[in-house]
Amino acid sequence: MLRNLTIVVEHTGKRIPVNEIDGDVTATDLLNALAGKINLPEGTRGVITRKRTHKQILPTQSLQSAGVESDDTLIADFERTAG
Amino acid sequence: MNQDNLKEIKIYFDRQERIEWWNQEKLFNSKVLVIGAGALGNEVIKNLSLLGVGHMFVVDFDHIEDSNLSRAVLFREEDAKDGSSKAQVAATRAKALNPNKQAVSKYLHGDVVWDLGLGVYRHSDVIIGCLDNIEARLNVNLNSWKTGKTWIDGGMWELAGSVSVYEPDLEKACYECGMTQDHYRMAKTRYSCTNAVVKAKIKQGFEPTTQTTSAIVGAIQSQEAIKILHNIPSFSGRRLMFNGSSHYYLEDNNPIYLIDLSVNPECLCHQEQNNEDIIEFPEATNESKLVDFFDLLHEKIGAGTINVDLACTFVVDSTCPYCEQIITLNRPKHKVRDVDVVCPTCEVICPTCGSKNVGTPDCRNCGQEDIYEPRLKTFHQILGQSDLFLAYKGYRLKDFGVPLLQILKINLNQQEYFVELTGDISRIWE
Repeated sequence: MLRNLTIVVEHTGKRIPVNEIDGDVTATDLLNALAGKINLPEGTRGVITRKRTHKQILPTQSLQSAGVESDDTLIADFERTAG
Repeated sequence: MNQDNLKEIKIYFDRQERIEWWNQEKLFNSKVLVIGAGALGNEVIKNLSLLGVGHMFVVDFDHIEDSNLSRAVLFREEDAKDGSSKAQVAATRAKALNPNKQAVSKYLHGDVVWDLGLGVYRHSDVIIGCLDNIEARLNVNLNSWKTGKTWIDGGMWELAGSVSVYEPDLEKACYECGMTQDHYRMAKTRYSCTNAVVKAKIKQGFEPTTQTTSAIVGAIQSQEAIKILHNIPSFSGRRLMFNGSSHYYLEDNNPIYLIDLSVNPECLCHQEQNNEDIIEFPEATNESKLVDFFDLLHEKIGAGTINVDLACTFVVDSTCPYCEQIITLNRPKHKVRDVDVVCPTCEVICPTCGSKNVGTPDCRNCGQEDIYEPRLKTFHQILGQSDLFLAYKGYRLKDFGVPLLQILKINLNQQEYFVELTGDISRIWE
């Protein structure tokens, strides 16, 4: 169980506290669970990055396997696609 | 280029040549494939031209509209009035802009997914993606991987942008590494769910962007390309993010940051082989007739039963599942629209709302998509001297959907060969 995570929504600067979350939760699960709060633009690929390492957590990767620890800050962002 | 010409032209590039590692001659001889000639593509093409890149090939299937003019430095009002090809205008203006008057700048007005052969990638030194959708990015990613080339992907949204550099290295992430099943679905939005023909009506979304963002992102893409052409390390395997709205990232007051992209051990692209044993056929193009191509294969590879994999699907006809009426199509699947295969007379009941529909692939009442499912007769391989071969031997390879400078998989006597339509190269780089 991971405790006291902070999700920073990069494009708005909004901070979402997460008191407790299962380490088995994947990046996609996290994005889906917080969809209403994160509000990523429709049709874009969401990306979660661990602030401490600047390393992307793969969509199907669990937070624990990505090395996320309690008190970590994660960045929720999306891929810019317009050309 | 002879030494006198080189000396004369190099005067124009004096300032950049003052950079210690800069090699202008190398840039003169470089081949850059630019895919997408919208706002980002314009910036990249402008930059590469001014930098003196000697060979550029520009690809885009779109036409110029008024809304492009505020963000595209190479387009003019008259181009929008005429609805000119983005690729054509961008390539033409690039040549005019390049101080090196011997520079070659050609274009393809076509679809990157279907009209650009693998050989175009193979003969490029670096690929720059200025795309606006997942399907095209997946395709460029795979083809770059298969041919062992690095590609630079740019994207933007409002005042924010990103640039990712993907190198064909098993230890580094590629674009496909970040895909999920949802993303694959998003990549197929222009195709019918039932038979994968192209939907006539596509929901198009336009994203908010500005010229300033495209200038920044296009500049970073161009700069990475120059580094790659000079064999200087780029930020491959990473994504540069730029936030021009807040200039503030992670409470660090830093508008630009890099993230390490993770390799997905189950990535489909990473499992693809990079085939280096390509046989070049300078006599063959995608305009070669099937019969002539088979003759050439026999002459160059050997006698026996030859099977050619077209790497695309050809649709012979469509049969109505209700009245058995046959609609003859004889064209590649990507040129068949869902409205082309609908029976004009049979009534179809929408499974969602129950309303009756005639002559439409989607329900006119509730909008339910793909309510009509015809039977398509297709093939994607041709065996020498088969009935199929005899029926279509007068067709050109492009009639089957084989793109420019494609590399085709050939099977002869249980042995595989990869044959490139090298004759197309003069349409690209020369």
